[in-house]
Amino acid sequence: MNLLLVIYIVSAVLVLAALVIARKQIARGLLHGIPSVYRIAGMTFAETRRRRILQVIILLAALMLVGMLGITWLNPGESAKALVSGGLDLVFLLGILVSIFICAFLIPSDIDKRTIYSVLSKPVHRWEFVVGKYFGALAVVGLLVGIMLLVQMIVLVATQKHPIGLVFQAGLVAYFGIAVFTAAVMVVSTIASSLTTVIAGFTLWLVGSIQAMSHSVIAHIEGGFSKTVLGVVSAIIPHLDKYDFRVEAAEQLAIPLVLVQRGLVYGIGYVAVCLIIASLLFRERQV
Amino acid sequence: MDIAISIQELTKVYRSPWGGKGLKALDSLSLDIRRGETIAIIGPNGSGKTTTLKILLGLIFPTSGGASILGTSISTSMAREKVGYLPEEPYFYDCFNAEELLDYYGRLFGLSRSVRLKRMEELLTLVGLAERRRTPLREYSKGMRQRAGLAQALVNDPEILILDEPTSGLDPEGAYQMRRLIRELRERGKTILLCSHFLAQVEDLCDRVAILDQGRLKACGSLKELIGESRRIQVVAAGGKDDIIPELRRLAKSVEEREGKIVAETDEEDNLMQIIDLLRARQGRLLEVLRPRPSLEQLFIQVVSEAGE
Ligand SMILES: Nc1ncnc2c1ncn2[C@@H]1O[C@H](COP(=O)(O)OP(=O)(O)OP(=O)(O)O)[C@@H](O)[C@H]1O
Ligand SMILES: [Mg+2]
Repeated sequence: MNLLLVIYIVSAVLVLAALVIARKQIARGLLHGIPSVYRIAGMTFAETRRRRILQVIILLAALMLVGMLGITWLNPGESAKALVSGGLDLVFLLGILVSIFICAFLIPSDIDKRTIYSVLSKPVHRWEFVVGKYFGALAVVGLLVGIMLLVQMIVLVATQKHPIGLVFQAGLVAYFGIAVFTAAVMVVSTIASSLTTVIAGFTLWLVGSIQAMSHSVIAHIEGGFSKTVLGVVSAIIPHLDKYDFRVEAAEQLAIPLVLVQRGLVYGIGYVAVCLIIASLLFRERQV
Repeated sequence: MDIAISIQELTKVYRSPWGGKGLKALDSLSLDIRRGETIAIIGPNGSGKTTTLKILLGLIFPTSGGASILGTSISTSMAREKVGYLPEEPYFYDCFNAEELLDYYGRLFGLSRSVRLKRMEELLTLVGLAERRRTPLREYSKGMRQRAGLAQALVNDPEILILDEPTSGLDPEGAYQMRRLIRELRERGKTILLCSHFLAQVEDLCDRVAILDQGRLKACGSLKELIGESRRIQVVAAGGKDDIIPELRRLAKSVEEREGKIVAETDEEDNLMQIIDLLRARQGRLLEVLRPRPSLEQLFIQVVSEAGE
């Protein structure tokens, strides 16, 4: 049987069981938790947005897109396709990069600088803090991805008369993929230092990319220990290839809805599991 | 008696991630803090004061034992609903200014916008930051951060205040203001738990004092209980005719000459007037009359050095 499927089913059952067992606490918790998560997320967003490094990255991203425009200007012909696929590449790459750095600086540096004392000493649950930080990070990454997409679409319309509906869709799905990736990095950041988080983030991304490229190879490995290991690794790392529709956007092909749906279901499950694990780990963390 | 904070058999061992014996920062500390009292925990550096406060606030967890705040166990975050905390050397998100900081922290308590605005005005004036309210916190001096820290600790109008070295880093004026503020809060009926190394300030402010050394409670009680009330009266005088000293010796318990001054000591108030009359008769000049008592500092040194032996 497919190991991956087993792991997914087991984690789904675990999540459901946790929901059922703790339903009363969950109901009570959500009543307090949702506003609280929202407040933490808002604070995180406001705080991260003002970090100078983020403003620099946004500026760089805009400059790089404009630079790309220059390059395609010089090579007419395939330029629209190159611009779409290259631009989405850039959006995704920078999104991942920013998400790694934001995660590395949210909880670890909060603990390092002891800014966390004045937050956790308020009536805030540990899980609310973690989930709030996650959504705050997503909001920042979303802002960044949004700006980059906008720049890209403006460039496309202005110079190529290229239809941008598909670019927007592909960008949206890519953002969802980044959100899934961010959840995984968040788990590491609840127990690790900034540096470890950055290293783990890049490792996760690298392994994910290799895994996506070697899909067919793995499928052909016959049984045995290595297959189990690969299966476990594959279950743990976020499958970012599910959110890659660059080709469709560049070639003007419709993005298959069923694939998007699959990606959504997988992503929501993956994020839920990550946030539960992150909250459980952080609950034990002494700050 | 109404108990605000109850600490039972609290033990904390800091373990290093590589194993080893660990460091016992708190050793079965038990302490009840009454509602409305001001109590100070004093002790040498590293005696476990901050550790105690951090456990109460759920920032770290006890190795064994427990505590409750207003009857709610500290293991749930609801115990902190009515608590304000000023951390040791507070540090805040430094891109915010004082207004934003108070606003965000007010939100964490679920305060409505109008309440938040009202509190913000009150608190900024109270701690003297009203004029620097729009300055980002990263441009604040240490003392200003301390003030902002106090303001955020008061944002929920807490019943219990936990202050870790409230006057460290403040200038004399600021320290005076802080003391005045603490006294004012105490008069409003707040329960205040503070740590401090400024013993004069502790003597001046607190109803009770707990002395901690190497994680163990060495003494706890009111100043009266700990130091006792002194019956000693000292009369300091100068000048006078030659036989003044032998005459004084008859009245006072002890008479000494220091730096050209005469210091006479007695235990009985009746004697005081006689001594003064004598001074006048012998044309001595009365300089001052004092009631010396052993200070908290002396007690502190004594308790801590006993432990060291
Ligand atoms: N995070 C930690 N990890 C390991 N040991 C710690 C940690 N925090 C404190 N300690 C140790 O616990 C002991 C008590 O520290 P604590 O900070 O409670 O002292 P304190 O009484 O507040 O001292 P000070 O007057 O210097 O503020 C010290 O020996 C300290 O080294
Ligand atoms: Mg301390």
